[in-house]
Amino acid sequence: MVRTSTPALSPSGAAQSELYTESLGEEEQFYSSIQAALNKNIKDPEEDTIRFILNYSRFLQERRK
Amino acid sequence: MKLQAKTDQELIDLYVAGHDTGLEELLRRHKSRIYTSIYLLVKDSYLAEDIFQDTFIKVINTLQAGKYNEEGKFLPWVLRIAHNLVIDYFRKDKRTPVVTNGDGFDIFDVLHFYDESAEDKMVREQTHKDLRAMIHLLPSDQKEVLIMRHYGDLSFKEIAEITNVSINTALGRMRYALSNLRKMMQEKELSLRH
Repeated sequence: MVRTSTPALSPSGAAQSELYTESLGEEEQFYSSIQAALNKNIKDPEEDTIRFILNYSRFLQERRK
Repeated sequence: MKLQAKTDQELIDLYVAGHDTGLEELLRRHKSRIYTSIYLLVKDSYLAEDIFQDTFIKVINTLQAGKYNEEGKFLPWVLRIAHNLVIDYFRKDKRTPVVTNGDGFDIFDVLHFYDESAEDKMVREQTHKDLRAMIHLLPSDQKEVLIMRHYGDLSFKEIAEITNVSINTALGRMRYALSNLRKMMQEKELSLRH
């Protein structure tokens, strides 16, 4: 997978000269071959952690009212 | 419009306007990337839960204070907060990440295991653990770029901004990380075909 950046715009609206490629060169093929295995390591936080965060948020929202 | 169809910025606006559903959807959308990135850096699920929680407390405080100004870059912003909290943790405790993870998993046990031909399913499961262990064996600068690029789905430009290096340095670290992983796998004759 080769990704090329979108040139950023300067305040004047002109595209900046910095263009770069996200090519990984000779490691590109190896990276593709291990992506599925890397994805097997994806984990989710515990439901309790999510619940705590949402409760904290609600507490603050209530205080704002 | 359904929440799932909204952009991160629209969800933030919704949340700041007082609707918790905005935050709920942002969490649902990004929790895996953020948590996995933290977990792979600290290698301890309890610590990862704490840092994930602290990260979102900072996120919530900033959003509710009306101080969020990273329009369109929610995930890189959250990962930058998480990354700084991980650095703070290791700095405060003067610890460095160790090879063995919270489960007591050791790469050398796995390599020994591989010498004894195991059943396919066990091999497959073990191979994923191997890869995780090998990621932990990488130098920390290479490991963090790999994690942010793959699990955080950040561009090298975003990674460069978070880690305060040039884009070429970030890209180079990723190449070295992959090269080192490939060499480790070749040395140990591990295969990721599964």
